[in-house]
Amino acid sequence: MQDIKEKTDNELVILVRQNPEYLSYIIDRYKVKLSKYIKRRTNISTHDMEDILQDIFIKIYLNINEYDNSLIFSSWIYRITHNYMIDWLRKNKKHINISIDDEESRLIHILEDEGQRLDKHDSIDKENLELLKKALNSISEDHQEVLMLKFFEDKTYEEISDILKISVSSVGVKINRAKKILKQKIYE
Amino acid sequence: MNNEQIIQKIKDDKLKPISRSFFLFKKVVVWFLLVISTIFGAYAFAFFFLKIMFIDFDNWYFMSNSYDRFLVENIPIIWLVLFLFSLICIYFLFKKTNKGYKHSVLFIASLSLIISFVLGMALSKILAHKGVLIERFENEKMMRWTNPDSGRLSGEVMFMDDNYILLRDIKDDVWNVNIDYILDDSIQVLNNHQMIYIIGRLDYENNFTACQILPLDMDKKRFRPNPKLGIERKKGQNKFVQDLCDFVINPK
Repeated sequence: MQDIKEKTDNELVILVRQNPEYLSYIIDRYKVKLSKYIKRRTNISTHDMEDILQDIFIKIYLNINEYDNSLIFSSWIYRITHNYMIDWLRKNKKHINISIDDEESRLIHILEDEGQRLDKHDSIDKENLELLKKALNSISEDHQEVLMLKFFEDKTYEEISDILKISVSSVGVKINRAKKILKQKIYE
Repeated sequence: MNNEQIIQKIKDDKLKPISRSFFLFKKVVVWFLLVISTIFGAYAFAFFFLKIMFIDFDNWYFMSNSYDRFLVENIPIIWLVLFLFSLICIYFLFKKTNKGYKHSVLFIASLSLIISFVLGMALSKILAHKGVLIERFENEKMMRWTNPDSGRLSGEVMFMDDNYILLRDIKDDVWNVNIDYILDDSIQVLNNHQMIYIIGRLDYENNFTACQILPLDMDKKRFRPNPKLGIERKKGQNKFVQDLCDFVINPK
């Protein structure tokens, strides 16, 4: 048991291809991460969340042969989740509604420039966090998505590029543009 | 959510992963369409390029009263549109390949343009070398130059005398062309070329008065007149040709 838990994602994928039972280890590894990601994207009930996660893991199982190990497995799994959520939101006629109650402290990083801490002028206090949350919900879904992946899921530009299937330079452009729009919305 | 529930559902519904061959097939289809689009793009570019080569940009004023109209009537827009369409297909298909999304729009657009251009140029050279297409384009060019009502004739000189020549046009009609009024440079053209363009005035059926003669850069072996060719005879004189002939034939 201990041995299997120490296996890499790619090793687990090989095992899942042979026996669906091993999917359980993948579920254990990604259940919490994916549910947080989904929860951040939309305020859904626990029941809906369970249904969505079940569908996503079954989809992962069905498409396991599509996985190409030149890609990071977590990027592939997030890509499937991202695509599933787009379809789900479209079918259910819902919009992304960022829910960030538990990790407000991370919000501050959104407004920082690359490798640079916020200066006094730009610093944002607790009162303004609400303003930031509102602003986050008012920007386009595209921009919300890249910001979430970068600042809440801690994904690198390369990983975001693999998840959203856009070029790394487009990721950079989208993040910078999203931050600029956010700042405008907050300070205007 | 219980892991066991998911595993159980997979077992109960007898779900199996989609086969690798299906994903491989999808990849092959995308690459196949990509190759087809690239070849089609190159073909469209080659056609566009060769057709452009056969347009008389230098002599447009003999063909039309305005340069804009001349361009609209002569630029092979359909091939240009097909070429652009193939570039769009290449772009989207390339994006669909495994790592296609990693490249920027500019990179993919430039790459598809360069590949289509290079292949198109190579293809146009091959097609030109084979001569089949060239013959077709030359015929089209001669057809554009066979409109006696507008003062244009072209073809092969069959007989030449001091005052007239016999000219066979692309429709295999023989014309009696009066060359009394042509200037020295036109006589030189006549002395050195058998394939010619004539700018002049229609006197009556199969009789024409030449005002200027230009060389037609074409291999005589490829000239195959065909009486079945449908040439639309456009009415209305070309202003430039009319003025030129008035000046040459009836100088004041």
